[in-house]
Amino acid sequence: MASAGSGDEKAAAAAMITLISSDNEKFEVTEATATLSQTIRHMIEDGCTDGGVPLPNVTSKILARVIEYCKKHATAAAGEEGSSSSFSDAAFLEVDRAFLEELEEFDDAFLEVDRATLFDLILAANYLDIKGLLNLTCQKVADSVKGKTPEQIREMYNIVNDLTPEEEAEIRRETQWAFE
Amino acid sequence: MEPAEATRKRARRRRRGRRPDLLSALPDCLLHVIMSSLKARQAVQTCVLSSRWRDLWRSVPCLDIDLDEFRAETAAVRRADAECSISDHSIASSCGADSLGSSDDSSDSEDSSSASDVNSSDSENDDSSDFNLDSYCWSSSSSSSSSSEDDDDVNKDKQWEDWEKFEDFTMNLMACCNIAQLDSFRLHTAGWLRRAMKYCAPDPPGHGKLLRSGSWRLKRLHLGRVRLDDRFAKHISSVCLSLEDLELQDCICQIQSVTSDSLKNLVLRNCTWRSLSEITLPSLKALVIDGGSNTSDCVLVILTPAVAYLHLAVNVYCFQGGISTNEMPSLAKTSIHLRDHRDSEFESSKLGGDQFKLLCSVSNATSLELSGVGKKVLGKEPTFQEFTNLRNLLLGSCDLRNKFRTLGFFLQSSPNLEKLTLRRCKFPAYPKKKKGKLKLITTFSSEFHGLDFMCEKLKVEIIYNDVDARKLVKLLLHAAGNLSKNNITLTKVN
Repeated sequence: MASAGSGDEKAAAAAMITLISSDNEKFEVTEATATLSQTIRHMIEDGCTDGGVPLPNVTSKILARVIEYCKKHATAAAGEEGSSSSFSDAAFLEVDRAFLEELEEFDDAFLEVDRATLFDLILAANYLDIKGLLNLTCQKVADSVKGKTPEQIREMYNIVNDLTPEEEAEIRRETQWAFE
Repeated sequence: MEPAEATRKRARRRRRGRRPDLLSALPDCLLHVIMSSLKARQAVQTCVLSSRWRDLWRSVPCLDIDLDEFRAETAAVRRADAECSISDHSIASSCGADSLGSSDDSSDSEDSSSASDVNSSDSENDDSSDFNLDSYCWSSSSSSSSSSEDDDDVNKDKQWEDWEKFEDFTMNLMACCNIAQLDSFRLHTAGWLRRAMKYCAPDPPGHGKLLRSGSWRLKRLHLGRVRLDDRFAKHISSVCLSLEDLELQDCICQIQSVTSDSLKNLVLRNCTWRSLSEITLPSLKALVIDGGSNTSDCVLVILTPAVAYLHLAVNVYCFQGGISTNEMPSLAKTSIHLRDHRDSEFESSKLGGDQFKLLCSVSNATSLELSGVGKKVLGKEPTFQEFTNLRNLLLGSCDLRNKFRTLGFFLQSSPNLEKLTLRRCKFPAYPKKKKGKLKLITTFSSEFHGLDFMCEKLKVEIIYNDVDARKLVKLLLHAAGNLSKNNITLTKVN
């Protein structure tokens, strides 16, 4: 994983950024990949990325996944830009579609993780301010509870109901219009 | 030592037995992101999960109110009745709360009284074009619901009950949430008539509560199957001052004019325009009109000088009144799809006859995709419009049987064209082979007269199935001296 980015065709010319996980593992990524994170983008703009960017809130396991996501989406973004600015292909709408489909497949596969990893990814996406990843992972959670009753959601996510029966009755009374 | 050990053991056992609640541990802002993806009713229902969740719904930044949620619920409850899981709760809560109603704040009574005001005014003001609510809303579900013992009347009652629940829910939610602080609001109903206006445009008296907050923060608004009139337009112009994305789907619009300085993206899907509508959006960047209709006496006028992306996919017969646009100097990507275009009849529709006008307004585009454009695109006396910025042109399913005049028109008026794609176009019938190349060229080359100066780097791609494209290649090569054979690709598709 330490060799991350070395295989990237565009890496040669691009500036490289070193990301350091909470367990001190170093990841070298292109600037294009790293700047999908607004947090890192701001650090780059402020010129404080020399000697690596420490990310004390993200473990190496999660950071590796986050980088995997950013790489894929950075390539896609670059490809899209390229195709629309040079107008190399007249069937531009179809090209966009193909890009999007491939990206969607990647996202679906990317989300095939256990729940703990999913929540770590949400927190990392939030901390690193990667909007696409945050929406993707939060959507996955939302999809998992869609159409479920409160009881089913509690069960599913181990939510302890700390409301007294009286409190719960009161809340249900206040929001009766949402339950009837 | 020992008790401490035991406590730790117990805690460990408890921890092992009860897996951690990762969801509730998320910060509020992230739970709000998740809740924003839920339909509004379910988002509100999270209030009973635990004390952590009690008030989260009140500040959720995106609301998505959808009648489908209430229909689905009916179906789900019916299914669940057999399993005895959901229904007991709703019964319990409604028994406890029936007499109290939802009187958690005083505006409720105001709500219901003004609701009846609106109702009564409905019956006075409604014109004959209103939907029959009953049949419109429920025609689909009544055929699909297959309850064994319920007869049709009971079904209809049930449906009305769902409908009223939906209305009740929406009114209560609107009273509890601060609409002015929302980022995004989506309302999908089915023929929800005047009442919907109350929320989208709380103009009539009795709704000072919503208006008092001045301008709304709302950035995205998505309305489905809602009927909109000038009150809505006024609301957009003077209250929703931050609105950037507006999507109207299956809406009936009786709007004289609407203006917004903030709107950036506008999507109009299958909207019916019932009166002369003028849409003025100086900051609009992207405009999508997909389907919809108007009548012959009302033009849809769109004034969007800053638009960079235009997608127009309409059936010319449905837009009897036509669509009028001004010039859009910033256009980059443009695609125009005229559906169901048959040359024999299209003169009857303004949109069909006005193709050339439409092209004039998009003449600054750098990339243009046209499909379904007919033979008479030029009109009787073509005034040549120059597509000075056009780099990329795609003609899909276009009728080029007018001796390639349409194609010639585009080639001659696009001096900077870099790529031309013809996809599944209709080509003119060629003379039989025996008569030879010469005849072919003399027949058509006049249409391509003056193509010698055509860009050397022009690339041509012809995607065809049942026509003979090689003839066109010969013709092009003959007419345009600079065109290289290597720059032409032919692709046969099925």
